Amino acid sequence: MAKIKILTDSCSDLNGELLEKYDIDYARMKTIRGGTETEASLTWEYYTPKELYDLMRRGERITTAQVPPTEFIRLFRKYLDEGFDIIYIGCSLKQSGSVNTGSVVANDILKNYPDRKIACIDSLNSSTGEGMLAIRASMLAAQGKSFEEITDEIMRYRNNVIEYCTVHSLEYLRRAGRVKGASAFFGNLMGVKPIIIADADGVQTPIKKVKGRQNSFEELANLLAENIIEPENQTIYVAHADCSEAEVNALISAIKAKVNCKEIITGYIGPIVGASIGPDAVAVFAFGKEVTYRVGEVD
Amino acid sequence: MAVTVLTAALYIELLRSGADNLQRHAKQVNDLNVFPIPDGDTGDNMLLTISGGADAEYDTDDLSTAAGQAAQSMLLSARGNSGVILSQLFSGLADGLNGCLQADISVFVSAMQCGVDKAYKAVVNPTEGTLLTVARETAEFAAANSFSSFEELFRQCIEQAKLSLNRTPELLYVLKQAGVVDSGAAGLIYIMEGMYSCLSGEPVQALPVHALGKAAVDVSLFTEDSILEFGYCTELLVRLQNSKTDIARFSLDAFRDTLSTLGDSIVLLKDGSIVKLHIHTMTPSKVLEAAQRYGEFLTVKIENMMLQHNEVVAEENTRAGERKKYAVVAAATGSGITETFTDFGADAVINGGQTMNPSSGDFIEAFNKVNADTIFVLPNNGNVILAAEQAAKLYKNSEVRVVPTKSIGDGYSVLSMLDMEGKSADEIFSDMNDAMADTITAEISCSIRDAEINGMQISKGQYIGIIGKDIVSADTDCVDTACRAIDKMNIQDHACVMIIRGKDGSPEHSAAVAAYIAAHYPLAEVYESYGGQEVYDFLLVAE
Repeated sequence: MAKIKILTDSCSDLNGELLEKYDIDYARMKTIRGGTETEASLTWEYYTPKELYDLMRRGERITTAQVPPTEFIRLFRKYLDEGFDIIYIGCSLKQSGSVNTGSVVANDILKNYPDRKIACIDSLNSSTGEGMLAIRASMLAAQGKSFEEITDEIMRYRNNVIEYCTVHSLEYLRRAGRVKGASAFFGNLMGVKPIIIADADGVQTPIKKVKGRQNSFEELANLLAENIIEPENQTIYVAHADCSEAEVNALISAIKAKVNCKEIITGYIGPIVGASIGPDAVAVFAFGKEVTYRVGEVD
Repeated sequence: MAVTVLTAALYIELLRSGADNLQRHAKQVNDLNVFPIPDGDTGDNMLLTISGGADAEYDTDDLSTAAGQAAQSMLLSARGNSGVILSQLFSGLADGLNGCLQADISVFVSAMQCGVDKAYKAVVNPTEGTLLTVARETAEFAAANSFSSFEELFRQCIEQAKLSLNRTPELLYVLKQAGVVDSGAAGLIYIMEGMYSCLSGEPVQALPVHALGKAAVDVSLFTEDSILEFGYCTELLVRLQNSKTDIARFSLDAFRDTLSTLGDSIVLLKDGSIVKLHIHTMTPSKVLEAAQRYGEFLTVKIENMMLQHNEVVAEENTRAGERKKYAVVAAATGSGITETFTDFGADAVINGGQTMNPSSGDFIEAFNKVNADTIFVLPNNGNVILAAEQAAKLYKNSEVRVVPTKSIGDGYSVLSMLDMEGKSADEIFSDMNDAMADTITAEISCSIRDAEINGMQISKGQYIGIIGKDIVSADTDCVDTACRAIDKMNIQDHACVMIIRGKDGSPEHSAAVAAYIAAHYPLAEVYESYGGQEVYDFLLVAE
């Protein structure tokens, strides 16, 4: 039986430390600014988070490109040649076509590696929600679990990733075409802060409104407390798009007041998710009760 | 000369011609982007994809080899979803031509279906109303008919594909909303047209893309004797120019002020140096003039709304036979406030004309227009509550619930928190009452005469601050009056403060009040907006 390599992509928002600790590699997407493409590096090799989000604050449009087939060919070939079977856990198909592309390339490339396996799994999540599943897969691989056991478990627990996110405005997401919800959540919301989740199909959708930024942090903590399972054994992930230290600390305090968890790991929202969601977004992720809500067709 | 055999050389030529034609129209494909800022990438992505095949070097007389090579090159250069799907169409096509030194029409048509099948398989959740639909319907048409030549095959397939393209807004709601056809499908048709022109020797006669998917306008709706009742739906994309204005500091509010004298239903957005403007006006020339003071036009659309039945119908909220579950009718004055309320989801905003207090009759007219099972009414002062309750009693076609909103601030709180998805009427009504429970509104206005109230001496022309029924501050200085009123609002117990500027309120005063709040109540979030209301220079809302 071949050893197993866990791969993810630029949407998984795992920082360098986590990527190294869990031996996870990732397929690179791209950010595009003024016609120039730059690799979307989770270790911020080409620009800092502040640089990216300040550009957006000044009104610059940053767009994104999904993983190109050549990148999957490079990555798959690298690990296939090193003797691995591959499990790629990718961004929700509702946010990016990368998992499709990965599947297409995998089918093609496996013709040259007839004894090998590649699984391309739709995580139904993005940002650290996706990253968490890759970490879990990596831990299972380290425990010696088989290829099928790992893919089964990830498929089973995809909907147990809970995400609660808040932003000042849904306009970035709307412009990027990556949020779906009732029209009452869009437009110039001013003091109203939407709370966004990843629904059961992997769609980013707002589920409620809260007045004021501080209240929105309280609500993130509330929702987390209500829906998390076995918090004492869990790591809660906080990802933010260059919020101030004061804000990040305020959120962490709000969480600690309501949830007794093993640890809280904070990191940046990466370039791809960041370019779509906009500066000052902040999200919390953990494993919790199964997500069943589906936004469906809305006006 | 009719072509009945497809050789490797011809296949490569068709591919190059298709890519060529797409290149000429890539921007038009990009412009079909659903969000109305033209930086979409479908055209570019498809072009890069097909160019991988078109630009490759071929050294074979074998159709099967050429097709396979082209598909492989396209896979390597595929970009974006539409690019990947396009590459799979060609990959499936190559599979269908496998082993063929050459191909006749029937073999090619079967191979088309292979392309469609492979493309559908490549996508985990295939969406209808896209490139996939047009490709599928075209392949199905080809299989159901016979053709005397490859030229005929392509010519008829393109016709079918265009019909299919025009149907995409019916299949995919976001296309219909945005008024466009599917960009990926349009890209595919440009490729097919390039191929046809190569076969037939004719130059490409592509229809300009914006003409596709638009229903023919019925010009008989506006005759020589018609009277212009609704005006023109005018949509402009303006590129602000450095030579005309300071782009970074360009004020949408000031521009909105100007526009509000020219028409209504104003939507104004700024994205970098592009301004998108939508307005209903009787005098589009004045709107164009106003816009050109700041920049030049990228696109201009002016439509007589008497022909544009949909817009008018939507604006009046009458959709015959389409009864909604819930609707919200709000009373408000001021173009900015009306716009904000509408953005938040109010189905009708009525302003009661001269007296600014809508009558029961005005409410009933609005109830008829919104056509819903349950109507929630948001009055904007005590008198209006009475008129609303009266109307509710009289109106038998819907359940009418009057929310006890006594001010614009209350109405704003209710609407900004509006969320009617999956809730019962009772739940919504309860949420609305909760939303306004802690809201405090202060109205800053100019006194119209001398008066003495609560031991305060007020002279005509002085500013007064009113909370509820009480005058809480009075001063010759507008900013001071506002700040004294702020101090009476328990800001420390509230999360947000809104400063809503009226027609006579100045942006400088608004900024000064905002600065005062930031200095004395640092935990409060302050938002300034333009309301455009008469009478009250400023409305201060704490929630």
